[in-house]
Amino acid sequence: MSLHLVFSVQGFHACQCRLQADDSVVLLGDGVYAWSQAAQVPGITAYLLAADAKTRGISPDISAPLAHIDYPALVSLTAEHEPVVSWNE
Amino acid sequence: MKRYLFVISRSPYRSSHAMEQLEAAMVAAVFDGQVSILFRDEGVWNLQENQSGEASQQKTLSKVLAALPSYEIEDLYACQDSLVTRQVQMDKALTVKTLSLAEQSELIAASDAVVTGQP
Repeated sequence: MSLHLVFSVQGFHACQCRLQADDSVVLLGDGVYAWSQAAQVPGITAYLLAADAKTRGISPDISAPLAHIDYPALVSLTAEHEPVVSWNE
Repeated sequence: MKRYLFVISRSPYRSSHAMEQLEAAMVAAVFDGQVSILFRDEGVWNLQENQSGEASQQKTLSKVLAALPSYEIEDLYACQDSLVTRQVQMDKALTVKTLSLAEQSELIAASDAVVTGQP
C-alpha cells in the first residue's frame, strides 16, 4: 500500500486520479486546502498534518471527517507504507 | 494622490508573496498613496479565520491584515468567486468587501498603478 504526501491542491488533483483503493493520503502544507476534495474520494484514508492545518485556520471541525495527525503519527505512517510518494506541484 | 492597487494571489505560509505585498502596500501608504488590496485566487486563503502561524513558527498573516487600518489601509477587497470555490470562512475581525469579476475590472481601471508582485 502506498502513502501519498500531498503538498498542494494542484498536487492533490494529480494524485487523486492515480490512487489505488486502500492507499493513504496525508495533506501537508498548502495541501491541507484540499480537505474537501480529499473527503470525497471513496476507499482511501486521508489525514491532515495538524500543525499545518492549524497554521492555516483549517480546524478539525471544518475538515471533518478527516483526522488531524501529529508528526510522530506521520513518521509511523511512513514506516508502515511502501512506497511513499510526494505530490509537490 | 496616487491610487495604488496591490494584488495578493497566493496563499500565506508557503511563500513570502503575501507578506511582501503587504510590506510594499504599507510603504506606499506611508508615502501618502491611496492604497487598496485585492485578494484573489489562492490569495483568498489569507482571509481564513483562526489562523495560527505559531503552530509552524511563522507570523500569523490574518493578524497583519487586521493591523492594516492603523497604516491607513482600509480598502480590502476579495474576489467573490475565489472565496466561494474554496469554501473560505472569512476572519470576522477583518472588514473586506467582496467583488464580482466585473467590479474587479472597474477597481483595476480606477487605479493609477497595479502591483502584482512576484509570480
